[in-house]
Amino acid sequence: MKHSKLFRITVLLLAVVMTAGVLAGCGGTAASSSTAASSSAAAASSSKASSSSAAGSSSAASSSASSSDSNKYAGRTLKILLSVGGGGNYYEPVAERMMKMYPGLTVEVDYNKAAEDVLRTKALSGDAPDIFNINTGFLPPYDIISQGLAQPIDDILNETTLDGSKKLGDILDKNLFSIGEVDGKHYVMFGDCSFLSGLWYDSNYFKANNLTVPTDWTSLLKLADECDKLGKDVFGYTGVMASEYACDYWFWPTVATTDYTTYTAIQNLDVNAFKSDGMKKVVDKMVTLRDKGYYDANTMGLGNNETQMAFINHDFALLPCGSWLEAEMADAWTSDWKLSYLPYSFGDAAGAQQYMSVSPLISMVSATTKNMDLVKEFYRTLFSDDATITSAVKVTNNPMSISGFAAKYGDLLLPSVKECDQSLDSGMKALVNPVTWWYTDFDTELANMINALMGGEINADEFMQRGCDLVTKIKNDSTITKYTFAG
Amino acid sequence: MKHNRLRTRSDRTFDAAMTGIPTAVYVVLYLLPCVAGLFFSFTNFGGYSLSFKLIGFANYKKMFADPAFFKSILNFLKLYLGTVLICFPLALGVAIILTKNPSIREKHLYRVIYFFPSTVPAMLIAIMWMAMFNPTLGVLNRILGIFGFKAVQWLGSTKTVMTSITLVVIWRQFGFYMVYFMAGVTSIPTDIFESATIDGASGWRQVFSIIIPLTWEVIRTSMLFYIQSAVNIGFDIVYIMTQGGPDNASQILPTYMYQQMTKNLDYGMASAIGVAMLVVTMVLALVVLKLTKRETYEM
Repeated sequence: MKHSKLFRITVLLLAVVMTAGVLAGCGGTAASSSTAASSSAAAASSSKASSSSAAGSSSAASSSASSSDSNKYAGRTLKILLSVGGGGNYYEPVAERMMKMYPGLTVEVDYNKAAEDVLRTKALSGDAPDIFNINTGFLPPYDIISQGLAQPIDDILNETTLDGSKKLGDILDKNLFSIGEVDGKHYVMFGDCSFLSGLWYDSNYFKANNLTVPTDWTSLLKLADECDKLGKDVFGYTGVMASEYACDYWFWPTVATTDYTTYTAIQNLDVNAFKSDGMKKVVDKMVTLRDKGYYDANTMGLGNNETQMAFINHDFALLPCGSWLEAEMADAWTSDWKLSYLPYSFGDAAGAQQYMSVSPLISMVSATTKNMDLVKEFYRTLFSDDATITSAVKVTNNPMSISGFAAKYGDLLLPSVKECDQSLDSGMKALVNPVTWWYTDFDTELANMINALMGGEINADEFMQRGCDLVTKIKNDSTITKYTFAG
Repeated sequence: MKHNRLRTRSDRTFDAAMTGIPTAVYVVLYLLPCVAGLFFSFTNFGGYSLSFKLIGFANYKKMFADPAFFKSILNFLKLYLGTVLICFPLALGVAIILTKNPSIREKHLYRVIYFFPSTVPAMLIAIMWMAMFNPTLGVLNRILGIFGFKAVQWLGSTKTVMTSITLVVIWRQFGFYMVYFMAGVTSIPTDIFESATIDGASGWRQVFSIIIPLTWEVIRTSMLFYIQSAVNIGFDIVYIMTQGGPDNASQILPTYMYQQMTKNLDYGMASAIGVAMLVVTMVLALVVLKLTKRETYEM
């Protein structure tokens, strides 16, 4: 009997321990990391819900502040959630700087590859971080705004820079703020890292093979012929991630350059926009590339890293990609390579207005934050402290959308990124493609359409019809809030 | 008598604890989320805020109006049937060869080799096969080239992508089911085979008249078990390799649901797809049970 009792107690304890073990596996956060990751790595890692140890936090820095205000935030904590993407942990220098300026203040930056999952559980439990900056591919900002998680940042834009000379709203790129505006209030903070994009090529390869650098459609076709004679294609894009690469870095700039009226009409869900003359010209260009064999169809089934490797291998000449390309493939470039930016977006004539998509990393302020004063201080430091800006840019290798950036900090950028940034100063215009922010289904179906057209599954008329059907579906869906693009 | 009463109470407490704890875990971790999912399918829950409202059958209407939904069901069925019709006969055949052929001395080595892929995380397998499927650098097209065949767009063509995905899943699952069937074949008493041999039954006759009927319950259980595996493994393989593309040609129900949840932040719609997935898998299970029902034999 005694033996039986001992056995039962042991079995019971085992059952309790196993149950506790099962429940302990719930929740938790992924380990934080300070290395930059590609967008495909972020997509791959975010597909796994499992997570391990708690995120790290920035350590408090000692300081010898002389100002009598320096202790005003002592004992307080500012919590920030930042996701892995192309940016790297560029908030860490800001946190360190703030803790140095204000002894006793703790700034915790949770740099987490599963940030959207972390935000979900924290928001539902009423413990949302004060600031969150999460890849918009995983956290559409308009959905966050409509769910009441974010609060307006207009007060922050009225704050002065650290030297008191200007307001933050005056030094940030106002064009970007057309996104995230609802009922006259702005909910999204832009500017801390803007990824530029467009077409990239190897200028050394072009020189060595006497290839034409295109400035209009005719010269692009000439380049395509030249590449064809070398046994190469002129153009390729990652089919697996077409919703970003093909749509944002190629299709939208092509539409805007070919016919800006058509571009505006699509943003405003004009049902006939996809059958307009402007769109016909765009589709004709796409079909020309396909039918003449100028498009590298092998890239249709490749992810972004594989496509970028094929690009480095000179399988094709022009790659639509973001300005993180040079840093992301740092270990893969060969000594004969010179990555250059092509300030041309498939326009018809030389001298036409060219466009590039700008993909800013965005942050939002929690609707439930009790630390608005600290939040304002964070952004003042991020956008107007020289040492902070320099440290942050060294992490991201991409520009901040603040006035005077190119002149003061341009040399911090990698050569290809600097070249791309200078294109904006020399006449290229930035696009933010609001239709993809407002209606999250849009670029998924647009990517399907582009892949189907370039893969030969559909013809030009079917592409345009699918575009019309897509616009009609969104327009007729009464559960989706509609927005207006002013152009 | 007092001693007997205490013992009975102790027994009852133990029984209650042994059944109660797993039941509680099952209810909390499985049943409650299922009920919650069903509830959320009638709401516009976005996943980040508890301020949502009931919207009736709007999510279901949206789901049925989306051609991608029907494509994902069809692709899921293709994945399931492709694996069952190719992987299972292959696994059973190899299991029989390794079990009933005494001349193969290295059967344990073969068992380890064939079983190994099923122990590798699906993500690693997907990445490895993406490299093999690479149209220019991949080993498969290189082999085709040696024999004079044209390179295939394994993952880049709507015509071949689902076949490629099914091939990867079959490669991964083959070893697991082979080992499973080996256990079934090994459990058949050897005197049945000796009697059959004495009676003049050929090897093939023994396979169809003895092995398959006596392992039928094992095969049937595997087919049912595989419905759940197809959901889990299918998601990992498809999401890493193609994300459902090109043009939804490899979209299956789990990836379609995940897309609604993460890209569109539409947990309500994702929950509706989850309910649909439950119905599809239940119907599939019932069909499998009905079609595979046959007389069982005692050994």
